Amino acid sequence: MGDAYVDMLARKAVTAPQRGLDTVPPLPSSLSDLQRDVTAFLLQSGCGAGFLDTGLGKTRIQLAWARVVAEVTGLPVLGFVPLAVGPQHVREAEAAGIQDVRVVRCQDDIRPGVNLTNYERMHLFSPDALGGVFLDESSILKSFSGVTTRKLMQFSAALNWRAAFTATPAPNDHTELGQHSQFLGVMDSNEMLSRWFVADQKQMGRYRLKKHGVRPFWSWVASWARCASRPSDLGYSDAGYEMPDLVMHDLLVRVDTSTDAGQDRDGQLRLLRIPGTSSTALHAEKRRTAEARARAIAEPVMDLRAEPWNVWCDTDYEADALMAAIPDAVEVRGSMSPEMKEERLEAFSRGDIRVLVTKPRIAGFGLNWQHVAHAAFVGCSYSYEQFYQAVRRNWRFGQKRPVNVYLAYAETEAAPREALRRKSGEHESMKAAMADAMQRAADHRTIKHSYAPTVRPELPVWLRGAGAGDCRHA
Amino acid sequence: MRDPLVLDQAHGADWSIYNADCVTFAQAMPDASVDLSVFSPPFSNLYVYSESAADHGNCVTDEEFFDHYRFLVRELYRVTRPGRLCAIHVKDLVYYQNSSADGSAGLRAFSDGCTRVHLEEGFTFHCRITIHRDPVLERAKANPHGLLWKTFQGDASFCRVGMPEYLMVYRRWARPGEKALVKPVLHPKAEVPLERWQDLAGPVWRTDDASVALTYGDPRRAVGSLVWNLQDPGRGDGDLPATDVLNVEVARDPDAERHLCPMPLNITKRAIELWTNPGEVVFSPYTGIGSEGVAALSMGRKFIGTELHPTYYGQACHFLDEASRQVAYGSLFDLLAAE
Ligand SMILES: C[S@@+](CC[C@H](N)C(=O)[O-])C[C@H]1O[C@@H](n2cnc3c(N)ncnc32)[C@H](O)[C@@H]1O
Repeated sequence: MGDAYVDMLARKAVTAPQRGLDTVPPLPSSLSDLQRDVTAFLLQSGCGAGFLDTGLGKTRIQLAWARVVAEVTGLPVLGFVPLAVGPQHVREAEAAGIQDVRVVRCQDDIRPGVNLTNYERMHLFSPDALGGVFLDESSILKSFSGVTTRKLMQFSAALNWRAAFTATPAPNDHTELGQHSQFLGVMDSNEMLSRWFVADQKQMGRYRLKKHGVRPFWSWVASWARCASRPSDLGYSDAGYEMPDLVMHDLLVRVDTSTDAGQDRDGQLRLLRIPGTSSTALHAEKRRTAEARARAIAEPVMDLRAEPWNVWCDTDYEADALMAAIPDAVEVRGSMSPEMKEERLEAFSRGDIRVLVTKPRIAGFGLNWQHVAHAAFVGCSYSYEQFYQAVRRNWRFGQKRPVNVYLAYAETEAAPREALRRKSGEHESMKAAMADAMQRAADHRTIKHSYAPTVRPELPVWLRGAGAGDCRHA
Repeated sequence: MRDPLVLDQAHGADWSIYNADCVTFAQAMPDASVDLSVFSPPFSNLYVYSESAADHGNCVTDEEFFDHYRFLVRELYRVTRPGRLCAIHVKDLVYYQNSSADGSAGLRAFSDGCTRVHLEEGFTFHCRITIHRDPVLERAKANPHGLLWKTFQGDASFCRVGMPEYLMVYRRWARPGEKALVKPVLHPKAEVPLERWQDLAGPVWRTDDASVALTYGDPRRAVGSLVWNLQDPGRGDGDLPATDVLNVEVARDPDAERHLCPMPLNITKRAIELWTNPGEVVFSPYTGIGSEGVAALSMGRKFIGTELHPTYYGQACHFLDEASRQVAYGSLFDLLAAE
């Protein structure tokens, strides 16, 4: 019976097991307090995630983490990073005084210490001789195929040391959190769903957090991850981390709705085209308006001739339209070889390319382009996550100027624009719930602890029990 | 039985308290060793006292609270002397539109939920004492829609009355073969006058005597419709020492999400007076800062208690130590006076 109570308490405090170091060795002095705390937390948990918005020092944290893991396991650590991000990491390691960090292309290149490679090269590596693995910009998993993700899970499953780093997850993004908790071996994503989420009948069964689940869910997340969009989320001062303004410019593109109006169900010709909301209807509409949207974008890009620009699109035909409208633009396209993509992205980082046209799924993750304060989206997709990530290439700590974002969409595409607005509101409130849980967790005095008494109680002599006489404690 | 370890303990001649989870501890208490339990459980998740999983207030739903509370009630039944009582200080709880599935708002019958658990674990429902609470104070504190003048005019179907607290009392009847353990509680006529009994028999007990704090002529002296809305909502009458309680301020824990709501001393004392003999054992599993203990010691009873939160536990040690000193000093004084 006593055990039933113990079981109940255990069920209540679902936290990730701590499988890491009891004592964390000294960390590089170049780390800030926040960075040191997160690194120490991840080393203690063994398998954990850092959901940190850009600019808080994810790179340093992962390098410091990997360095210690390499040390304690005596085996090399492998980090997967997005295309073209490796050299940036090596430079950062030098600046932070972290040794033995290099970019590698295949298993044979691996040396003791920290090794970095692209996700695309995963098939050239094996986990056998590794001490641990980490993922940089792990949100990128979502833009890979399920096969890639599964392979990555398999790759890491045998390793005791795992860490994943990405920006704070998108609103109610159970897929992302579940993938992470599963990758880290904390909890199966299905179990996570059934514990804290309900399928919303009104939203076609889309999962959302249970009302009363918000607090315990984030407490659980806080047991295996540290999330912060600014230092104060983890109890540190925001001084020096002020964000510049983000200025949105909506470029509403007028469209002629009298063409292609189609017929209604009875075969009557329609006067005006009524855009459907199905994804096929949206795609058709997008194709029709692509050129007009590209022209709308080209205007400010050509006006502000001295400025570097990030121009984002979702499809190849949009890229074609942009390339035609902006003479000095350079494109990075999915079908190019990784080397070519890398070379062009690097050239843009150096400032050798003024206007870069590409898709968020190719270059929306991980790269730091603070030198750019102007970005344009030639369309409005339903993926808030990709939009947010792409904007964050420029709008991040360290950006000194206000960031101007131009968003072109046709009159007939108001629905995705509205969805974007709504999702960004949801993102804010979710961040607040998350920050709240993090503060609770980061404050060691209030961490949700299990009950572990150690003192043998003495019962007073007058507490005898009416029936038993003195037999219980003579 | 599991090892009944605790986090910390403190003892006086007539009291022992433990920094411990009440369930684990109660499992180690002897059968029929308590003459009266009187306490306030956490009001479901109204206040979360700590992040400890063992904290009964740290629950997601009322059901989860009752699941935990049941473990305690089971032990309470066992440790209570046959024929004796368990009095719990509770109230009903409000729920709001934004947290309900169907958009309604109203009350959760928390006190009835407690009764259900006590009945299921063997107690009988003995009586319910209503503790009067001033709706003006409640209005000033929380501005509930159901207590606003505006609501009264706009659509009084939303109006409710102020939320009282209750002392819900449960009895552990002697089972066959337990007759010998029964010990009556006696109030000799020579010691307790008729008026006192008539007073104790009233179904509504008051925590406050507002007239103590207010000058004569202050309209707030009277409680009821006359004082309704004298002040703007939110301005509050919170400055009134409306209740006879231990000083919570000293126990305010900077980490606690919301602070402790202490048990009114005079209510506790009335219960102890009515339902125990001098020298008997009073138990509070949720000791908090020690109100029930202070009341018990001041009346010459023994006290045993458990409290999970280390800060509250520390404060309770302090208050109990002080109370037993005062009792000792008082009896010394009596002794001197008698000479
Ligand atoms: C309503 S308060 C009681 C206040 C107390 N009557 C007083 O006047 O000081 C409830 C108390 O129960 C404590 N508590 C919650 N769960 C507990 C548990 N499992 N064991 C012991 N105490 C617990 C809380 O820390 C809190 O102090």
